[in-house]
Amino acid sequence: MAEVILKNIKKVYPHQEPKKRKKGAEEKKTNLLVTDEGVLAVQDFNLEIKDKEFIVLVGPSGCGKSTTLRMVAGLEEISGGELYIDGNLVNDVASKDRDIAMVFQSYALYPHMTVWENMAFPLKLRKMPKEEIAQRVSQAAEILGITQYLDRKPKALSGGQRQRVAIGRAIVREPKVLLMDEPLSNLDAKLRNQMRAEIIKLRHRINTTFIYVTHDQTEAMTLGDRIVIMRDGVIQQVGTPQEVFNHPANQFVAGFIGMPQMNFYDAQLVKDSDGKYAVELEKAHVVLSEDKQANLARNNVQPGPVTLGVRPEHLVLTGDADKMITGKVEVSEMMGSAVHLHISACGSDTIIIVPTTELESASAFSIGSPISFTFSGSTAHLFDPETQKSLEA
Amino acid sequence: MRTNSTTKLRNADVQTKRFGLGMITPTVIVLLVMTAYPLVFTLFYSFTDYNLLRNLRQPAEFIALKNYTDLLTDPYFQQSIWNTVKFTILAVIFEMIIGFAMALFVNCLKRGQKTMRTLLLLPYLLPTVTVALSWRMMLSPNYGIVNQVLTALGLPVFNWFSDIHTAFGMLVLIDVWQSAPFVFLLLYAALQSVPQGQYEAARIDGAGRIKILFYVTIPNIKNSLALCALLRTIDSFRLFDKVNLLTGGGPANSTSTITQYLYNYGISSLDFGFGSAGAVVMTILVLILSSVYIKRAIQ
Amino acid sequence: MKKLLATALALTMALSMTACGGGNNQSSGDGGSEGGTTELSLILRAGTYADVIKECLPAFEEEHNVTCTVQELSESDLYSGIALDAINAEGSYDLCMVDGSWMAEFTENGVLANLSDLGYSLDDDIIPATTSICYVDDDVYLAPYYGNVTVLMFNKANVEAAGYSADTIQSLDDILKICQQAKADGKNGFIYRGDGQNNLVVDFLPILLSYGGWVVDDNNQPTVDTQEFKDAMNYYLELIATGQAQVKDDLIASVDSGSGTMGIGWPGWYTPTADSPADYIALNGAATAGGETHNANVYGIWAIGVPANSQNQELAVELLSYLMDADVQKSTVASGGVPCRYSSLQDPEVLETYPQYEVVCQALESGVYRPVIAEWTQFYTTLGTEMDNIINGMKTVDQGLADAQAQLEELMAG
Repeated sequence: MAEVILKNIKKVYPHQEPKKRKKGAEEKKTNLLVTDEGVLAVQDFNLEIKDKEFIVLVGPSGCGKSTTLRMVAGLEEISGGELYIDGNLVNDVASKDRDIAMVFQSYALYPHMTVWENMAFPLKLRKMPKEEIAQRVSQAAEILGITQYLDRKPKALSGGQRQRVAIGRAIVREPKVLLMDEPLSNLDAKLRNQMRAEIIKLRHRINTTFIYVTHDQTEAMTLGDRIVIMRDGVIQQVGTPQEVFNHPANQFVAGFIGMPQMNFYDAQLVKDSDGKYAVELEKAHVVLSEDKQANLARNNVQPGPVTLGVRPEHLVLTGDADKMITGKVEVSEMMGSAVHLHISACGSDTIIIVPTTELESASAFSIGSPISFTFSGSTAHLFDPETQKSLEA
Repeated sequence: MRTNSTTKLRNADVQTKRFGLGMITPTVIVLLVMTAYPLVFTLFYSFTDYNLLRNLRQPAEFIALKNYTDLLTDPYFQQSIWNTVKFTILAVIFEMIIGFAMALFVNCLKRGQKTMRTLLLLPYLLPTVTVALSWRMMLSPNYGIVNQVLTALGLPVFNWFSDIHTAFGMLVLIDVWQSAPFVFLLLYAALQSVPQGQYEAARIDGAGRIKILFYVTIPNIKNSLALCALLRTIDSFRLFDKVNLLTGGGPANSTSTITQYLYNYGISSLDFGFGSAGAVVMTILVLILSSVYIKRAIQ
Repeated sequence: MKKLLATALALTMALSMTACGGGNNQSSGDGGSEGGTTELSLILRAGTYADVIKECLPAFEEEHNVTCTVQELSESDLYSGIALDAINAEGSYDLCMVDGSWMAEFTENGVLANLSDLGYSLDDDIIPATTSICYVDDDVYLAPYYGNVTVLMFNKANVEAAGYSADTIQSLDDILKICQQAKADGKNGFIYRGDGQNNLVVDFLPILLSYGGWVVDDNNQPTVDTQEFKDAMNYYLELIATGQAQVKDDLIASVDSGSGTMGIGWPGWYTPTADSPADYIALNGAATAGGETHNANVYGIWAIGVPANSQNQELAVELLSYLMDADVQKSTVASGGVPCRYSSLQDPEVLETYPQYEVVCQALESGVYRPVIAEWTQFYTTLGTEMDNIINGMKTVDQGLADAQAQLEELMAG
């Protein structure tokens, strides 16, 4: 059983000695909490990963996802909390004894060894018999489709091939946990898509727990059983792709997941005469769906200003004419099967996705032409303007 | 019209070429005067019996290869070649090992890397003469600190530079002391460029410190190691100042390097013809040595 | 326009390069007159030898309205310095200090100017034995300036401990006994200079002379494998077994401090006084007590001469005469000078303050010059190398000397 449990994990980078600080304090770009001890890179990280689950840690740069991964790997010291792998407390156990394998963003292949030797290296270190090494290496090579490169050195391989070798080196170990640190970030777009599919296939052939780190939400959505979204060292939400897509816990998650990004407006939450919640934005007055009503009622949400979030694909162009929001088309992007319209409305930018089948003509929405849209009560997400938390949670 | 433009092009081409030639002419002149001329004349003198003072009354005579045969059949020259080779091998090995150890050590330090770096580099910055004379003072049988410390500890004391058993070892020691920092500096720089990811991958793969050293560190700095070895070999081969200052080639020719031999027999006796022959032989030896390295390094 | 500028630049650079590099072929010094004062350039042996000359210079400079610049060098650098300048058409030096053993090579190749032609001659006050190397036929080329001669340095306390005193050291056997006693007492006996062939040979020559041997015969043919030489060598090996090899500074310090007992030295190294721990005597030249005595003190006389290519020969000869003047030389005694003159060395006032000058005078009267041959440098290099081998046990006495003889015969024949 290779479940991984992280309890209250935290990582602190201690302050440098004063004399080493540069003149004029460095401005940290992120909003990491600075305590007396130092900079808190990861705080209160609690997660229970089930055996053979594929977990994705996702978030913007500097959110602490790689740090967390490296703490699990043993490459960074855990400042606080407990880490259990397969039921054993491994805070102070060396990396090589944790039965984990890691795939690095930079591949970290040994340049002077051939592909075969690179993959055999961890097994040789564990003094495995030669036949078993040969068998495992050739099997892994076959799975990854790199058998014909076994005699080459890394410098003679392309990026994608190197990545496969790195993965191969990790899977020959048959580890309990397989860690991947942004493995696809160094590849070009087309290759990335290809490798993503390969990883999904790989996942089904190999029985291991995966912990995968990325900054790309598409990868997170497609690969993970569950996604952990992080920001500034704090977990924002943990859930399946569907959950985080449909029910984002806060504005950050809502804006992070989904391509193109969700549209946000400053709207008003009102209660109709029949006691039902409705959202008002300009002329639009939309009554929320039944389950949303229930959630809001349960949380005893009072009417008032709210942040309204609607995904681009959920904005509609049809509806009651005097209950539509008006705007002007700024840019029209023809994507093939749909058109992405960039509209200026309500004082900010909005994106609407319109399938081409619904278009009357190609030039229906030319630049500068007026446009009206609205949304439905079941696709409106409401967030507290101050805490940014979802009001339906 | 067409002829006009082609002529213009040709003129421009010629002009560019002339300009280029004009620009490199001063450098070529310098090279010819400073390098080619002395080389050619050394080669020329090596075939004569040119003696500086005798040349005032009696011009030098052409004696073909006599200088070379005298040189190569002289058992003292052969011994000096052997001494030089022995010295070079020992010095380079020790310098590489000690320099590498220093580089690894400083690389591992969490703080004070810069201070250690400067301190360790100091011996190399000192002029050779200073180093030689300081060590001679320290090893002096009369007031030398080394002998005083050894006596205090009850260890045996030697007449370091005049004892045939210790003179050679002392030279190796002093040269290693001075030159290991150079190796340290080069290898330290190389160590900085080893990608951190490989160390981490190796740690996770299960490699202990020794294995990491041999499978990650050394292969990544292979080129620098080779370069260091080459530079130190060429330098050690030409050892002169320390030998001349400290032992003069003695005792019993045991520390005489090729350059010291040439100095004794070719330079101080003003037999420049003989000395030139020696210089040519030595150049050829150094070229042979370094070509082996260069070939390897290119691969 | 651009082309013109570029060509001009290139020419300027080329010219400046040749100007820098061309200086080597011309004389590096300027022997000519500068404005009103003439400049004389001296090249001397560093140490007491140059110091005493420098003291005499101001008076000369004032009288003749010249400025003198002095270059002080080690022995080998002095030799090379004079030799390398000798090939220049215009010499940089006007007065040079020459070791007697270089005399043959220099005069054979015309390095020195003929002083007789320039009107100089040596007078009778100069100790005759010291002038033998100054003449080629009847012409004077050098004047003996500093009476350097080998002496036996010893530590007074160690000598007394062996039951001897300065006067009772009569023969080499006595020396051996004293050194063996010192060794038995846990000190070093005889200290010799093992660094360099020249030093090895020079330290040995007095011993060789005491046994009646010499490195060459009357025809300047090598005689290094004679019975006398072998006897001297065997004795020497026994003697140095009581001590060790040290460099000059250490040797002096050893004998002075008492950690060493005896060594061959030169008056310029050490000035003994009534209270100093060390002193020196001239060697008697007897190998055994009551045995035949020989002249056993080797000259290291520093002579002064004028380079043949000097630009100011007349003025230089005047300077030389001035420095060699009896009274001027006597005045240098106070600063450690050792003139080769009876008037200086036998002067009662001088002897009162510096009694050891009597010893020096005796040594100078009976001294022996090193062979005056042009090949002396190669000679002592070869001989010194073989002696080095013998001393360090690489070859036996017979083998080493036989090899030396063979090589030296070849050297002197060619």
